[in-house]
Amino acid sequence: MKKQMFHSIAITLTVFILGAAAAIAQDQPNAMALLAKIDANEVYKTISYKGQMIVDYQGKRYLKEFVAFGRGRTDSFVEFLNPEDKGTKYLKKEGRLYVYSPDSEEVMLISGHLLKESMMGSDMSYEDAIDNETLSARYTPALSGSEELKNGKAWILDLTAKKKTESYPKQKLWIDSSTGDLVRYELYALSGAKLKEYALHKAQTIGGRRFPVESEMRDLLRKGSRTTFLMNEVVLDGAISDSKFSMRNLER
Amino acid sequence: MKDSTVRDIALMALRNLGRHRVKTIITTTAVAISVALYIFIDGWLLGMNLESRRNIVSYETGAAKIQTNAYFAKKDELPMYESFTGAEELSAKLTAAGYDSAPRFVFSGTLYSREGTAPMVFNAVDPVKEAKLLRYVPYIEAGRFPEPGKREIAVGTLSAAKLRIGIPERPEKAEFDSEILGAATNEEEAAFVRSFYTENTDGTLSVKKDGNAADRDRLWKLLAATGRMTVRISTVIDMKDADKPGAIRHVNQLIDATVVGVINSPNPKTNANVAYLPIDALQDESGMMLGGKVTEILIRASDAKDSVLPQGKETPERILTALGSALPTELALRGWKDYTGDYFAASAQDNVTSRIMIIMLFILSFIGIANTMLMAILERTKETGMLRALGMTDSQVLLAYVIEAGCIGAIGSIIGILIGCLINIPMVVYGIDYSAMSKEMSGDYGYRIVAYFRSAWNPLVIILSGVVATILSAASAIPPTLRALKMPVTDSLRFE
Amino acid sequence: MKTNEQKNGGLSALMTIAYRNIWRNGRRTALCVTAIAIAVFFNIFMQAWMEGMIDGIEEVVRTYETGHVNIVAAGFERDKEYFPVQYPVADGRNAQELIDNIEKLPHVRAALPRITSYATLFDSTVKHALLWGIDVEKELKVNIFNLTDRDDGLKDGRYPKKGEAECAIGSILARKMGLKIGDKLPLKTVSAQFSDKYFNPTIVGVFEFDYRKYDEDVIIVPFDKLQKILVLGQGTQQLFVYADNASWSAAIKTDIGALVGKGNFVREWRDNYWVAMLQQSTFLYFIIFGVFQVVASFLIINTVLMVIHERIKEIGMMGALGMTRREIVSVFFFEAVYLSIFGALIGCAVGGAASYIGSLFPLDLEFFTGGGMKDMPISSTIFIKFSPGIVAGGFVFGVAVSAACTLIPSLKSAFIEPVEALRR
Repeated sequence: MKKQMFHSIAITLTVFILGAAAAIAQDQPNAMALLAKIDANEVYKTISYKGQMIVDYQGKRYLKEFVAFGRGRTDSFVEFLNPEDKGTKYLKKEGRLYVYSPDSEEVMLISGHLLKESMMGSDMSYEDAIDNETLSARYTPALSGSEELKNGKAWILDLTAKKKTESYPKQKLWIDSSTGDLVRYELYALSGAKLKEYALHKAQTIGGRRFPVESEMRDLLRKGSRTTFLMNEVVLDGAISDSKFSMRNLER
Repeated sequence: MKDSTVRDIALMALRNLGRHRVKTIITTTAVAISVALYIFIDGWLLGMNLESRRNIVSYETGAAKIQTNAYFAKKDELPMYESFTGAEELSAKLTAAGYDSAPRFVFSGTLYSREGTAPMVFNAVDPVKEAKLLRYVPYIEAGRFPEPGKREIAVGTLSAAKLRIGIPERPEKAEFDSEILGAATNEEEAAFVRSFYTENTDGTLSVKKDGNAADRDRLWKLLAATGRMTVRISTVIDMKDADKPGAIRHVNQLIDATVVGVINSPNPKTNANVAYLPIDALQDESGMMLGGKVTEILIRASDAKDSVLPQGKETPERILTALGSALPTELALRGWKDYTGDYFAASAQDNVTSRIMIIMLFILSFIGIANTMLMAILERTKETGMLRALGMTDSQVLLAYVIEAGCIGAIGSIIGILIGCLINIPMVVYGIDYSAMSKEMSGDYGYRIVAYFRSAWNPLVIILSGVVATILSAASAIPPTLRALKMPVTDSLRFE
Repeated sequence: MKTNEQKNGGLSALMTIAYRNIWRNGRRTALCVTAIAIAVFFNIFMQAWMEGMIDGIEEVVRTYETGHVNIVAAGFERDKEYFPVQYPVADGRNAQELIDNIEKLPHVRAALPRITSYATLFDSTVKHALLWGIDVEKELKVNIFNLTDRDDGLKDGRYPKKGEAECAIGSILARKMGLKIGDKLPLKTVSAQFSDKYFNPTIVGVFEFDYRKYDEDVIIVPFDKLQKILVLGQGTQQLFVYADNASWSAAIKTDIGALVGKGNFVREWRDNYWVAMLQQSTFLYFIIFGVFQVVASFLIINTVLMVIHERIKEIGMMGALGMTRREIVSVFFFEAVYLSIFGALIGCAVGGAASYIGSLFPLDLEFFTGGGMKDMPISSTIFIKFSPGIVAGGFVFGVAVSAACTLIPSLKSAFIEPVEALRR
């Protein structure tokens, strides 16, 4: 959840900047350049928003609401608000992930084998969430064509992992040629079988940047499963005090 | 007593055997039966004691395993990243030294079938070598074992039932109609499918017990055509990060495969949440990126007998010696006992239930022999009186009877040992398949449980039982004889 | 030429003769009776032993795996290897309400709510364990967790109290993790909404159930606490229903099915794979039992053959005095019946006493297994079963088999020519 949030924000943001040029040119853009721009450094200092994660599984719907704060790429604080998870808080700081749970009434460090497990029932693991490496560093991109989507033409980037140890050896990105939104991506297993799908439902321009305010992720192995992400009340570069990202904030 | 007297007495005793032919036969039979059945039960109980251990050796671990030390330290986690290469050279050395070896790559994951999912431990094996070394391979309930080089797997029967793979043994009517009958493409096939099952009273159907192999194959193929046997193996390939020592990376993998067989063996470990597939189909990126790596090599002597636990040639020390030059330092060879950990708190001999049973049987046999001998001698009180009247001393009479009884005991023991061994031979070599029997006893559950049992040889007991029976017979002669000797000669002559 | 009167009188006369014969030779009688008594004793004892074993196996399954009747939702059943908590019984209906309704049914002793869920431990040596949320008070009223030592299975400390952040762990788990009472056990589990829940209970007790799977993997926490952590509302993941007696399971199964409604699996303990599997194993013991019967029967036959052989002269005498073959056989037969009854009575008395005493004291044993001991519901204690049924069966066996065993040699006696016999 965290990662893909950053993912989509970063992608849409920087692609937008160059989107205009690309739209005018309508040439085949350079794959590496596209990817590099996706990985471009964050162009905001802080972010805060109210988020929703809706898990649809086996005909049932599970709604999780949270409020999130982020500083750069490295620090973030998330607090859950829905009644079932109220009081659960996560703090990512200095490469470490901490959690506070009202059931345990103390702060616990998530490390080792715990990091490999799925985060709050989503399709991301904790490990994925705290990973900071860029796509360009891990993948070699190739432009494989374009596709006509509802909203217009999208460039298709095929990503091949540089190292054999990459979690998802192959990825495919669909980038809207006019808006620069990352409208879709697919994650593949080593054998080439498709494992997960991400689709952008709605993007908004906030403070001059594009945000995926509604998107969905599907784990194709879990039948009938779907996780929808929603972002509301997005505030960029607002003032967030340092204490937000402190241990004390977890414990209160 | 002079030697000649002893010899004379002995000869007399032997002649007495023929004189009271009926009695002799009765007493000899008592001894023979007791000895034979004691040997049988002892072999049986020993077999039972050993069975759980033999099952582990024959169906799970072999006599010994070669693994990396790092793997063994965490073996409960199935750390596939602690694998090693060079399995082929080691195998060649082992074969040259008279051992069978089977390489394996073990990993955990999830199996997705059309209808469901289940966590699974996957054993990537060499089908040919596996069949030679372990015994579960022939226990294919339906279908066949995977062939080398193919993306085929065999799953345990309990998992197959849950995942709705294979031929269901006891489906609900709804499942039968939609998935089984629904596989038939024409009337003839539908009739064939129906003929395979009988209806039960509780709304399920059961496979008819007398289906033959060809029919099962045909039904399998019919069902496979609907996609019932198509599965996906979801797992992560764990490997060490070359750049960050100590870190493990996980690569997501999804492999398409077909279930070709369902395993149902006497060891429940092979029947649930376990799958077997050929290791050579997983070597590249479409598989598990093995590149020749294995997590373990199983070892057994080529001429190993299933009825005994590994010993002698199959001890880790001997295997290591046979391997000649030491193993690479990161590898270690461990015997099967190291893999059973503290499951067996006591050794085979300590099974208290068996001990009590064999003691009870011993008492029963003891009484049987003693009782018969007692009666036989007691009723010859008159004869005893006669011998005394004719001048034999008490000790001579005693000796005569003891020798006679001892001879009966000896003959009975020899016959008993022969019979006992004869009964044991098929029990040890072939064992019995009692699964059908038990189903009658405890009812039909819809689980087909394969139950197979073998006795074990216990040479020490076999010989000892003969010796003890002989001594016992001889000793049983003493009390009645003494009683007869205590009586005045005249009274004993009148004894009826 | 015999009149009816004579014939009828004949039968009772024969029986009287037989009765008197028995007492004429005390030694022979004693030996025969002893042989039969011993055979009957072993028959009873072995049966009591084996029934005790079977009961022991089934008791473990019923205590831990299935209860007498087991209720879970269909969704749970589908993924049961994962112990999912997302599919509570009867769609999350109020557990207490369900329990109250079920306990009103006839023959139901108690309905116990239970939750089993996977926990990932923060400790790196033992990474996973099973959380077992139970109402300890209610459970102890119905179940015995350890048959040899304390009934409640506690080795040290106490069980967690309702609503407290406490737990009790298995003795083997405690050993593996190096934990003792007072230590904390940080863990993570997944809630009914697929959220991660973190819990850090204090260890207040260590238990030992003689059931390896539990001693090694299980952490006991209060049911209501786990229910809250997993956000199950008022529902429960499983219901274990216990009847007054295991034999009522089938009857209450149907009643319960009606109460919980569709979408749930209601099963009785006999439907469990392990029960079927282990009952099969007892076949091997029945073979041993059979052999015992054979040896015992041979004992009786041998004794009787000897007796008849001894009395050849007597038989010849009877024939010479005018008794028909049938009458001679009848006499021997009745003798055999009397001896059988006496012997069987003694055997029953001793066997009954032995199995009664045995039923009071548990025996700590190792069972026969087929491999993979940890996964099988095996406990290492049994009670020899004392049952009047077994004693009565032993009596019938004693009389019937002994009479049969004596009959054949007796028949042989009838074919002896009086002249031959008298000459011996």
